[in-house]
Amino acid sequence: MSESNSHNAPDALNAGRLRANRQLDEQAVWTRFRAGDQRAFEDLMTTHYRTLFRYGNRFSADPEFIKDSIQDLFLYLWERRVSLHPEVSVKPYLLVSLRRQMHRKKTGKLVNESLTDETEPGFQVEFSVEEQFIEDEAAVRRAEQLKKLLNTLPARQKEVVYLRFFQELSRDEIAGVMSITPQTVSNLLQLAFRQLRNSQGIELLLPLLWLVSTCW
Amino acid sequence: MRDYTHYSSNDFFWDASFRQWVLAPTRESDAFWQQWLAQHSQKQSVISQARSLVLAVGVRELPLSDDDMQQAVRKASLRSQQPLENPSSETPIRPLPVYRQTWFQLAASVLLVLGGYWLWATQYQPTPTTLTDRLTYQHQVADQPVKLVETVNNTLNTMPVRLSDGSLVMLRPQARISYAAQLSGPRREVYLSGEAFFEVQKDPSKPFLIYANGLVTKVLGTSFLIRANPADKDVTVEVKTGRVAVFAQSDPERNQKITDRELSGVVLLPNQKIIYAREAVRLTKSLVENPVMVAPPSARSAFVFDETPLPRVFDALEKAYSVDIVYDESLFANCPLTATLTDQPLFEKLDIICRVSQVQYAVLDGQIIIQGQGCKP
Repeated sequence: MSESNSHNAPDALNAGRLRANRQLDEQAVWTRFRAGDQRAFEDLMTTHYRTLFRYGNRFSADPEFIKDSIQDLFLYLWERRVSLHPEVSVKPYLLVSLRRQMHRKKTGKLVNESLTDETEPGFQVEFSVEEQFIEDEAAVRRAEQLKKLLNTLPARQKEVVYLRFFQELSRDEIAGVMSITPQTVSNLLQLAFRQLRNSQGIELLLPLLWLVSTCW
Repeated sequence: MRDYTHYSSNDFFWDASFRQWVLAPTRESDAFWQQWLAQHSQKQSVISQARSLVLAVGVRELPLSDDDMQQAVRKASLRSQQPLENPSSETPIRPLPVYRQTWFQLAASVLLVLGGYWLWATQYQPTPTTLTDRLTYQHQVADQPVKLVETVNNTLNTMPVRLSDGSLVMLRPQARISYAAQLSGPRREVYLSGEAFFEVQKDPSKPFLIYANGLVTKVLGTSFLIRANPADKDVTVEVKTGRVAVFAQSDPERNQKITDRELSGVVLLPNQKIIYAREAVRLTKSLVENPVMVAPPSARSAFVFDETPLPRVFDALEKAYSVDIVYDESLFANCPLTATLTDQPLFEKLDIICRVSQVQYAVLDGQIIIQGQGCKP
């Protein structure tokens, strides 16, 4: 009989363990990066490239611009590696920095200029339905309905739902990226689900709330 | 322990473990879910519905191949090892006075030659009569009654240019655009040579038009890429988000296509691309015969409604005007509309719909919001 719990979905416990391991590794790479290890530069960039690219896509639809910005970001950090904070939550830090970088480039501001007086551009995400994965009309309608509901969520709820379910960020990472507290992240998710539930007129089960508040 | 036995397909959709199994299964997760399915065979159809929901409902992401990614990392790594140059994002580069840069010296001599030819070609030759020549960037810009602003990208990177309406043009190296400093007037017009990526601010009342080597691209608010290099035989348009319409500048119906509130011509959807052969336009007929540019059925017949449920009406409006209409589908699903709305502009169409169906609309953040009591079946 294998060790793994055959009754439990292999997620909560394992995911927690995996995440802890990943964080240790990330810290190690970050330390080496700050120390000027060329290999760490490549590791860091490779590890986070796709996440950064997808996040950058929320602020621009131009792939070349997104790639340029990611490159500029890493070169900028590399140049300042000595003055980088030794202990940061790497992923949120990179995501926020990319967002700032792209905004500055678009508005022509210099990196050191303060952004305090500006509202940054909206986070844009549009949910869509790929019909080739659906076989019957009823399912298409259901998918379209879900998509419509998701697209009409208020901006911040939409952002949290996207980052949690479609980018698989943890609650803390989302808090870091959006500059809000982890509790606010949970609250926004709950609001989103309440709205989805009411609009659909379907009772989403209580286990869903459990999912939202405790599993991470 | 989570009890999945009473989960609906929507519940599975939001479950992290289920999503992971559908999108990126591991041996472990696959074993778990296959076993669960075997033990709960009555949930087979719910599971398969949920599975297709997870696969189908998502966010359209830009593609990025592993190769592209590795190349990008390698390139950045190499750049990081070069001796400290002025980073493009930090202190503004103070360029050497232009006459001292070697590229200028070289380009100057080349330019002289080219310039000479150009002068000769226009001054000492009869004025160019080919359509293609008349539709080049230089000629188009020179023909404009108003003096236009020109921005040229002589750097090695993409250069962002913000227009007075808030639209953003990402000029690729060597590209250039000309535009009126204030985009006032009934239309927003831009002339392009080279390659650029456009993010156009939504403004259904003022279509955005780009003239590039004989192709006209018309948008209401969207993002897309145009490649119109002077030396190329083709012009390419690739759409990332939204919808654009393209038609030949020499198209006899072009004035109507330009001024119409609707999009007519060949309408491109996201991820679609069109290649327009410049020379072929000499024969208007061959353009129409080109299979890529099949003319869509006239948008006009789409606005005759007979007991049509409102959601279908709103859908038709969304498609034709490239606007988002937000409404409660279940509330209006049973509201039929009988009306002919072909000749009115968008907001008059909406006014009529509202009077007849007793709803109100408001425009908010570039979207049209519909409110009302709905209809009981």
